[in-house]
Amino acid sequence: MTEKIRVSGLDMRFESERLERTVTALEGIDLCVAAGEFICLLGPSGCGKTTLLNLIAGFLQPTQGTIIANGSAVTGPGPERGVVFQEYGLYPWFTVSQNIAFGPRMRGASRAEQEEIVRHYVSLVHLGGFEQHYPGELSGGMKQRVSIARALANRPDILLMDEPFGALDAMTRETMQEELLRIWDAEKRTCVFVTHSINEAIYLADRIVILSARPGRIKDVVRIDLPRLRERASSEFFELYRNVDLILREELARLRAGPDVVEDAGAG
Amino acid sequence: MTVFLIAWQMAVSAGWVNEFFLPGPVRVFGQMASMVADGSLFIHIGVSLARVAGGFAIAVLVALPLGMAIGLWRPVFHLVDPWIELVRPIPPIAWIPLAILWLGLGETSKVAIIAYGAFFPIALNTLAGLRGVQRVHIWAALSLGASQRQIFWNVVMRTALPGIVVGLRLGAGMAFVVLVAAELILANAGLGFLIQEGRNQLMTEQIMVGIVTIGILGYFINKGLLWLESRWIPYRESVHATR
Repeated sequence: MTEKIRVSGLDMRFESERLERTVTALEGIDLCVAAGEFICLLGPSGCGKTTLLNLIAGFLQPTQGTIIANGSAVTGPGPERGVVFQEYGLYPWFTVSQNIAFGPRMRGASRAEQEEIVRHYVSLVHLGGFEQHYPGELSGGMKQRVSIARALANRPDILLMDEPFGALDAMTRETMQEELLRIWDAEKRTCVFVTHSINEAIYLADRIVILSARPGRIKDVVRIDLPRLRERASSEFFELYRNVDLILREELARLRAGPDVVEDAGAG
Repeated sequence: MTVFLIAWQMAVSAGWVNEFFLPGPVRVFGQMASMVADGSLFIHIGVSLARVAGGFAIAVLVALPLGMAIGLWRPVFHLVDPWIELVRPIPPIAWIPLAILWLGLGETSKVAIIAYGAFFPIALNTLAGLRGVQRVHIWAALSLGASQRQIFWNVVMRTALPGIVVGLRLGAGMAFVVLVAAELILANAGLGFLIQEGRNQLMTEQIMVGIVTIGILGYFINKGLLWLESRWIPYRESVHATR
């Protein structure tokens, strides 16, 4: 199995000159993601999961450590690592079609190629009929679909998703999870998905990487061997939920014990 | 509008209002009609429009790039901003005496003052438009493989466009205001001059013709700019509908 992403000895510290403080967002992160794998970064607020995603995406530079994606070191953002943002990040001045065609257009695809790509992805995300709409005219779920289509249209090797369904209601969220798996199944890409929902992580992932907070470290990795599509109400699902939940509760208890305790503990 | 005109005429005919102070619509439009017939109104309109267009064009050519430069590069901001904040409070009319001294009594001085008046709304609104660029949009563009140049035109400029358009509209409005003021003070032709001459010759209806023509002109110019805006920013409706 080829290795698609390798994170080694990653530290991420943020300095605040104004407050004269250093916040350690991530510490000692070692992570491997195989090609075609779907992994979830799960953890409480502030555990650094979004920061880790942004580092893999290349928006941030690590204080220490390396990230190798697709065989080369990550030095900045690039089209081989597509990103789906929590806030959608759609361009309000472009239509659905123009948003989706954005990546290919920037990279020199011809008119015909762009049209073909848009057609393919619009139908893949079930947005037929809305090609000429502006993002401002779409619902949250639809906007997120455009966001996913836009990222995929660029044919990235790796798809990075930052709590993409966070702003959606529970029902739409479950539907979108199923949609995402269907889309992912059609075009198997390596996927790193950030979430704070245990249910979401168990439903979607091959492996769940559980992160602790303050400082952000990998606390545990849980393998999910259930075949997809998974039954949300099955006993296996509940079993897994219990395990993951237990791990997270330990984390929350540790955090509640107080930040001083955490800093002194050091050798977590 | 019709009700207003009727009321206006009635007030005059009934003698509630002295016709010298406020001529009725019949006399005003009558005067206007005769000026249209002999072409004199169009000459004045032409002269005024030429000045406004000239001043506005200069303002756009200077203010737009400058506003962008200030918004994009910190050093430019630090260099230019103090001057802008110093000069901005000075109203265009205050510059008229100096303009006459430096640029004479001809077209140059008037066009220069008009340009000055339109400059600030355009520059400052362009700057404001640029400030609204969102990080997530830039990040998205980078992860989609866009180059710096492509990001500039497809993200930065597009974000700034509504602000720029507002600046252009406000600038056009200012240009008009300054035009009339400048023409009142130093002109021998144009709509402002028409008003001034009407005053000097005690022809109130000519003053009214000048005022009404300015109003009509401004209305159509604004309508034109709004139409341009709807073409350049067709998504505006939808943005207001959601957030």
